[in-house]
This record gives sequence, structure tokens and C-alpha cells, in this order.
Amino acid sequence: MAHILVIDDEELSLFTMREILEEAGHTVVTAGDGMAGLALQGAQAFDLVITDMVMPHKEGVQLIVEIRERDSRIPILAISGSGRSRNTDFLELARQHGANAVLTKPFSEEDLLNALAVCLETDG
Amino acid sequence: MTLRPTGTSKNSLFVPACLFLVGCVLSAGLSWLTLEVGRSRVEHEVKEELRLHLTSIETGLRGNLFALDAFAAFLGAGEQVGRSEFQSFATSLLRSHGGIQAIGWVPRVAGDERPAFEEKARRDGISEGGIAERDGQGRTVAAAERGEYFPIHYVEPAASDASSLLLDLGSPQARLATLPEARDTGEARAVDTILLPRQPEDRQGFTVLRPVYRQGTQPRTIEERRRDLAGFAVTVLRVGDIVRRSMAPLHSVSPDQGHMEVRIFDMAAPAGQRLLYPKGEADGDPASHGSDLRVERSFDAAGRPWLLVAWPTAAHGRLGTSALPWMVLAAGLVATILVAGFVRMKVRRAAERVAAEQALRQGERLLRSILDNSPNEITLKNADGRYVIANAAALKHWGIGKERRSGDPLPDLSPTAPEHRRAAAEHEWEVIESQSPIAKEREWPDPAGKPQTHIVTKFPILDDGGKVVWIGSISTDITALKQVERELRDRNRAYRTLSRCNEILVRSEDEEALIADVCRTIVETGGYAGAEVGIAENGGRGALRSVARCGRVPDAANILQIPWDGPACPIVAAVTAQATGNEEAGGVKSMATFPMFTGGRAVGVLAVCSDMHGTFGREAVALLEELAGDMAFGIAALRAKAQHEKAAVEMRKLARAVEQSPAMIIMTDAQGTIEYVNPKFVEVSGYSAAEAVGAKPSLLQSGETERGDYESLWAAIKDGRVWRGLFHNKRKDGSLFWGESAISPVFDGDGGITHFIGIQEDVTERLEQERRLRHADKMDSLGNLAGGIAHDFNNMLLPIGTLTAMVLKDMEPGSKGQRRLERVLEATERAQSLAQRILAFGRTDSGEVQTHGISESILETANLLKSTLPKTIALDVRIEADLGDVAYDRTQIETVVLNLAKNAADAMGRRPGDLRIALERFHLAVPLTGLTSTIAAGSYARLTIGDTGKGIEPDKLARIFEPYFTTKAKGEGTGLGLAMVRTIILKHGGEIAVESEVGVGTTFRIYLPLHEAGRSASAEGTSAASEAAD
Repeated sequence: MAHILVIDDEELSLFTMREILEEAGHTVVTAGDGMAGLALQGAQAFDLVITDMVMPHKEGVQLIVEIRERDSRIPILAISGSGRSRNTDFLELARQHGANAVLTKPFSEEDLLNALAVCLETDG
Repeated sequence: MTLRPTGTSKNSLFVPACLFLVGCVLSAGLSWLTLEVGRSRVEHEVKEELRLHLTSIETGLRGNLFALDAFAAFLGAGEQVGRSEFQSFATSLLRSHGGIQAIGWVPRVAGDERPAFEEKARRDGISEGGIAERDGQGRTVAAAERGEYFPIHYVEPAASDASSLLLDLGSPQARLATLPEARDTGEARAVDTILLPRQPEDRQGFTVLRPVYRQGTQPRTIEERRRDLAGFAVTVLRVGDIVRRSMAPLHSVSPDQGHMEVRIFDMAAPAGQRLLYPKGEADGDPASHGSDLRVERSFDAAGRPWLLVAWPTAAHGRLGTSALPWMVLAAGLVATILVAGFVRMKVRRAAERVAAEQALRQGERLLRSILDNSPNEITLKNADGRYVIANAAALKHWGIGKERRSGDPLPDLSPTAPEHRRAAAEHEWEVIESQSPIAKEREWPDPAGKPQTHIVTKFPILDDGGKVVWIGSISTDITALKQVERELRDRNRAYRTLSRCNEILVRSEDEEALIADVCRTIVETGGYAGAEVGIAENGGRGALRSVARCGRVPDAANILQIPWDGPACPIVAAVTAQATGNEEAGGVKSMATFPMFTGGRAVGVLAVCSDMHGTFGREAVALLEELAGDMAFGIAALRAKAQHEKAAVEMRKLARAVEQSPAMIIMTDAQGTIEYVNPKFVEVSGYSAAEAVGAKPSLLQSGETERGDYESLWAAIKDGRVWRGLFHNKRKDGSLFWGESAISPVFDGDGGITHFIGIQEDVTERLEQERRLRHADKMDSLGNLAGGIAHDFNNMLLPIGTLTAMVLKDMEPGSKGQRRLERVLEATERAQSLAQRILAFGRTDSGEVQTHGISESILETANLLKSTLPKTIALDVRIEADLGDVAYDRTQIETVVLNLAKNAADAMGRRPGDLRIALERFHLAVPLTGLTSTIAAGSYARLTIGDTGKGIEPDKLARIFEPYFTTKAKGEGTGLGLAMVRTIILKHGGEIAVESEVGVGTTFRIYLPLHEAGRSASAEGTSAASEAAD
């Protein structure tokens, strides 16, 4: 069972992911924006970080860069509602900066758990 | 000069020519005579020679016949000649006469004496057979009984033919008529047949019978001869031998023996058998043998008339052509030529002598005439210093009149003054020394004391030894010439000055330089002491300003003091020594000032100074006045030129501005007819200047501009105001463009309108740009909006969908709640799909651009379609492979194909239909104008997607590419699909066109630029994209 940090500015998204992950037996800590997420990641040891890409205060890409500066090994799963936006492909950017897997919103329970498995496997 | 009396040369030729002719005729006559005499002598000699030969042959024949006589006499001497006697006599005869072939004895045997004779013959061993004769077949048989027989008894040489012995010659077969004839006449007779045995090789023989009587004497009467006949002496003679033998001795005498031909004819023989010698030659008429030189002789050969003929052959030496006549002719001709030449020379010399004398006399007259008619004084002095010749002019000069007779001695014609005499003597001495003519100029007064200038040329006349014997003198009076020369020089200088000044005027570009150059020319070329020019300031109202001074100009004559606006004529003044004022101007004695006028206005003053009094004569003043006028004109011209150039530069600038103006400029006359269009007009409108000029500006009217606009335009410009506005104009090729125009009237001096000028700018591009920018902005904001909406939408859908799914898992299957939640999930999925489409619209930025494989990409997409399209739709895919490089974004192009295909499928609904997808290389011949842009002509990859669906109404067709415009039912389409397709295509640098007919179908045609090899793959494809994306 993994200890997972989930960062998203959408309260409903956070709730949904917590529901899925906890039902799957993981422990979940959530953060409402990038700043808070980064602080939590520094404070605790997580097995996995799930982060949204478009957030206030700190963009997902920025967050991934800073986490990677601190910890090069921790698996990161990037999620986004925009997928590829008009000029920027957030998920592609996330991948380039160190995200182990990406997932487009909306996703199913199964999608998330599969992505999770991929991330943890990579780690293991 | 040579003088020759006419006819001399003709006379000098006549006599020699006559001599030559006579000489030629004489030579020819003598030569002919020589030829004739020679020929007749040769003929005579040859004939003599021939006669000698014939005589010799005759003698030989005769000798052989005599031998027969001698033999007969020998036989007649003794009645019974013994065999041995006969033999010895015959042998001696044969030896002495080479022409005798055989000789024999034929006795007369009476019939009763036959047995005794035969017996005796047998005894003597002559013949056993007795007297024989030949029968009809030529056989020898015993002779028949006859009264008498004539058997051949002895023959020598005996061994030749024994068979003919005792052959009876009197037999009838022998038929010898000659026998009784010879018996009766007692003379030898020749027989035409051969009686004696012959030597076979010799066929030239003839046989002669000679009767022998008893008692050795010849009886007188025929009866006695018949009674006393004892027999016949017979001989066979060889004519050829006789001829040869008789001619042999002549060989040593005549070297031409071999060149003679001899013929002997027996004239008694029948024709054709006459020729006896030589044998073997064809017989013929004896007269036909030989030439004119033949000699004939008749000969009685034992009773037969023979004809002997001889003639020389062509090779006969004596007959050859003699060189003598030719030699005579040649000698005669040579002698003639020599004599004629000699005579001609003599005659010519005499003629020349006469001519020379005549020429001498004529020359003398000529010389005298020249001398006396010469205006120059010509004299000749002899070695003693005495004058021997003086022409009329010299005599006149020295005052010697006609009273002097021509024979009188001449007086001394030397100058009288001692220094002149000395100079003359020195001149003569120089000539004697140099032995060549020497000319000197002398300024001596004439005897009356008047000063004169002469050119005196003295020249030596030499004798054959090269010694000077005479001295000639030619004196030419050049006093007047000198005067003219001086005047001419002065005038030349004046004109040269004027001419140089004119050159300067023409060439000068600068006013001050012109004035300085003219002043310098007046001094340097004109020879004046000084020159100065003052120019009026302020257009002639102000004071003079000295512009140039050259040479010496006295201060006192300061031209600045001249009241130059006074009388407009030159002022000439003397300058006194005191007034010169400055030392530099020393020597100036007079000066003249000339106002410089042009066009009635004075521009300044020219002052000229001279070192001499009286320099400014009428001519000089007129010349300088002209010069001043020219200078004034030059200055005015330079000023005008400067002004003109300035204007011209302005004009050119203006013209260039108009020519190169980025705006179209049209100039019309007051009636609105085009007079001028600038190059930009030509470029934009497509009409050439020639086409435009003369036409009305309505040439460009497209019908798109409101009628009211034109009316307000005319109202404004006719009112003298400027009109500004926008025209939608038509080019020559029919395409339209937007022209932003400013039209203004052009006024003449009186305020009347002469022209209108229209300045029009093609703003089509600008308007299009603006429109595109507006469109792009719209798209951009839409894209952003769509992206934002989709983002939030997806965020919302996550909890809705996922949580619903999670709840659904816990629901009792078949329950009401489950059914309702499933409907929620369905709505969620539809919302998700909508969000995806909205996002896709926002995602039209370029991804990875590639150049190869568009055919394969589209084929793959089409294959993908097959599985998704309803079965009612037949897919027809035609993809041209290898159509070239197209810079394209695979994902975007796939999106385009899928979008269009989906639209097509939707348009066909559930009805059966065809969906055509084609990709081909296409050459666009003319630019293609789409909704908002135009693509150039060229090569394109054309992608066609057509359906047989319901079609689009024309009013909607124009709007289908607008965002949020849809023909589909609410909820079926977003209205973003075609807008996105178009944006993608535009970003690819291409264009999309659509054709549709309601009830028939719709066809989209997409043009993507084909890239030629070597060009950057992405450049074209993305340039438009970046524009739209910004």
C-alpha cells in the first residue's frame, strides 16, 4: 500500500481521487495548490505524487521541476483537464520535466489505478 | 621643256620601214630562186644517175645475149662439136656471165636420122631413152614419128636435170612458135616458156633460142635457112642476176644506189604477167611506177619489147630538203634588219638634232617672254660683275626706258648707297661660296627714295666644271604684302580674341570664372595692356562690383567710378601719365569702357587698357563692343541656365516621385479623359499606359461601388474640392481590388480647372490583412475560450463520471437507481466528447511537420474510416503515389480528413451514398481566391473529399467555415469542425474550396502546396500558420 500525495486546486477532483485511492487501500494526503503540495512533499515521505497541471500559485510543471530537484526518484503522475491546450501541451511538458506518467481528465477509476500501478512499478 | 617639231618621229620611221619591206621581199625572192635551181639541178642529176643505171642494166643484158651469139658461133664452127668441147666452152661462158643460168645445144635431127642419133646418144651416155616428148598428162614418152626433131642434147650445167635431155622441143606439146620464127629470121628469139631445166630457186630466168646453121654462116634466104638449120643454141638468163651484177659497180660511184627502184617489164607478155624484175611484186601498169623523176628505156630482148623503168625512192639523199634556201632567207632578213636599224638610227638622230634646235629656240623665246612678263626684277651678272641680262621689270625699276636698244650693254644695276652695295656684295659672295640659291629680305629705298621691302633671291649658274660663271638675282617687291600681313595679324589677333572669348562663353559653367577667363584672354591673346569687368549688383540698380582684373589697369580708370547707367555706348579716353596713379599700370596710354548689355538691360562694364595711342580704332571698338555684348549674353545665359537647372531638378524629383509612387496616380483632363498613369497604376490595374491613356477612369469600375459615391465625387472635384473615398475596382483580368482614393482638381492661373489628379492606393491587401487579423483574433479568443471551458468542463466531469461509476458498482443490478445512474454516465460521456471536440478546435497549432508520405497518411486515414463508416456508404479512395513533397502535420491533416469524412457521412445520413477521397497532383493555372485569401498559381497536392449527401444551400455555403456555424441539428455539431479544418489548411499555406448542390452532394477541394526538391520543407507550410497564431 502506498502513501500518496495528491495536489489539485479542484476540491471535487481531490475528493474523487481520494475516494478511488483510499478504496484501493492507499493512504492519501491532499493539497489545494502547488505551494502547499511542495511543502507537504518536503515534510513527509510519499511513495507517489499525483499533481494537476493547471493550478493557481504554482503551475504543475513548476511543481514537478522543484520536486525533481529535491528527489529524483519519487514517482510523479501528472493529470490535466486540458490535455493539450491551444499552445501548450501540459502533459507533454510534465513528461519532459520528470513525470513518470500522465493522465487526462476525466478518467475512470480503472484509468487512475492502472496509471498508479505503472508509476509504482517503475519505482519498484 | 622639250619641243619637238611634229612628224619627226614619223619620218624617222618611214625610210627604215620601206627598206625593211624591200629587204624582206628580196630575201624571200632569192630564197625561192635558190630553192628552184637546187631542185632542178637535183632532178637532172638524179635522172642522169637513173639513166646510168638503166644503161648499165642494158649493157649487162646485152652482154649475156652476146654470150649466146658467141655460143652459137662456137657451135656453128664445127659440124660435130664434142661433148667435152661443149662442156669447156659452156663452162667458160657460165663463169664469165653471171646472168646465165643454163646453156644448151638443141640439134636438128631429121626423121631418118633419128635411130642413128639415138644410138649415138646412147653411146655417148647422154640418154638411154631416145628422143622423148611429153604427153597430155606431162609424162615423158618416146617422141612420135615426125619429119624432124629438136631434142635437147647438151646442157650445162649438166647435172641440173637429166630427165629433160633428148626432150623434143619441136613436139606439138611444146608448141614453140618461136622455133620456126628464129629459124626463119636467123636471130635470137626469146621464149615465154622455160625450155631448159631451171634451178628451182631462181624464177627470174627467160629462155633465148639462137639458130645455128651449117657451115657456120647465116644463109641469106629463108629457104636456105630452113635447109641449113643445124639446131639451136639455148640459154636461160636470170634477169635479177643480170640487173644486180650490172648495178654493183655503180655502188661505189653513187651512194644513193640503194635508194633507186628498178622495174623491168616484158611488154609482149599478157597483162598481169609483164613484170620480170623484181619477181614477187604485183604486176601493174608500168606507167604507174615511180614518181615524176622516173626514167624509161625500151629494150629489144631477143625480139621481145622490154621496158626498163627506174626512179629514186623517197629516201634518196639528193631529194632531201636543202637548207640553203632557208639560210639565204635568214641571211637576207638579218641583213635587212641590220640595214633598216642602222638607217632608222641615223634618221632619228638627225630628227632629234633638228627638234633640239627648235626646242632651244622656242625655249629661248619662252624664257625671254617669261622674264619680260615677270613682275619680279630679274638680272644676271657675269663673272666680271657686269650685268648681262635684265628683264623689263628690272629696267623699269632702274628707270631705263625703251629708248635703249636690245643690243646695248647694260648699265650697273647695283644699289647706290654704300651699305646696300656692301650687303649686296656679301650676298653674292655667300651664293658663290655655297653654290646654292640664297634668299634675303631687304628694306631698301627705291631710286626715288621711297622705302620698300624686297625679297632678293640670288642664285649661282655653274659651268660644266662646277665653277660659278654667272649670278642671277630675282627681286620681289613685297612692300604692299608686308603691310597687308601686319594688318591681317592685328585683325587675326582681334578675331582670335573674340573667338576664344566665345569659346569661353560657350564652355563656362560659372559666371565669375567666365569673366576672369575673358579678361585674361583680352590681355593674353588680344595683346591689350589690361582688362577689368565690373558687375552691377542688385539686378542693375546698385553699384558695380569688380569681378575680375587682368594685366595693368590704372586706378584712375577705376571702372567702379564709371557712371555706367549713363549713356549706353563705349567711352574711349586717353590716360595721362599723371592719372595712371599706380606704377603697375605704367605705360597705359589709352582705355575704353564698354557697357555690357543684354535684353536691354546692362549687367556690367568691361574696361580695356592699351599701351598705345590710337589702339581703339573703329574696328577695335566695334569688336570689343561685340565682346562686351557677348559676355553680357553669356552671363545672362548662365544665370538663366542655373535657374532652369534648379527648376529641372525639382521637376525631375517630382516626376520621379510620381513615377515611383507606391500609389497609383491618374491624371485626366477637365473632361475626365486619362492623360497619364504612373507605373504603379499599370502594375495594379493590369492596363498598359497606352490602354489607359485616352480612356475614362470608369475603366476600373466594377459595379461594386455605389452610384452615389461617384456622384459625390464629381460634385466635390468640380467644385474644386478634394474627394476622398474607397472604390471597389476591377482589374483588366477581372479581379477586384480596393482602392483608397484622393481626387483633386488642378487649376490654371485663372482658377479654371485644367486637370484632375487621382491618387489611389491598392488597399486590398491591407483590408484583407485587417480582416484576417480580425478573424485570427476571433479564432484565437475562441480557441482560448474553448480551451478554458473544456478544462473546467473536464474537471467537472471527473467527479461526475468517476463517482457515478463508483456508485453504480455498488448499486443493485436492475434497480431504478442503477438505470438512472447509467443515464448520468451516458450524459457524462457525451459531455466528455463535446469537451474533446472543443479542445481539438483549440489544438490547431502546428505539431510536427513532415514532408514525405502524405499519400500514405491519407490512405491510412481512409482505411481507418472504412471501419467506422456506416455500411450504406461506399468509400472510393484514389490516392496518387509519389506526388511530391508536401509540408504537413500528419495529425492535423488526419483531423481534416476525419472531420470532412464525418460531415460527409452525416450529410448522407442513413441513405446509401458514395464518399470519394482523392489525392492527386494538380497544376493551378491561375491564382485561386478563397474566402479570405488567394493562393498563387503553381503545383499543388489536391485532396478531394466529396459526398452524395443532401448538399448545402447556397446562402449557407458562404458561411460554413465560420466558427459556431452549423447546418446540423442542435447537439449534433459544435460548429467548430469546418472552421478548424480551414484554419489547419490555411496554416499549411493551402486553401480549401467547396462546391455543393442541394440534393446532389458536396465536394471539398483542398490545395496543399507541393514543394520542389531542395526547398525548406516547413517554411511555406508554417509561415501562414505563425501569422494566424499570433
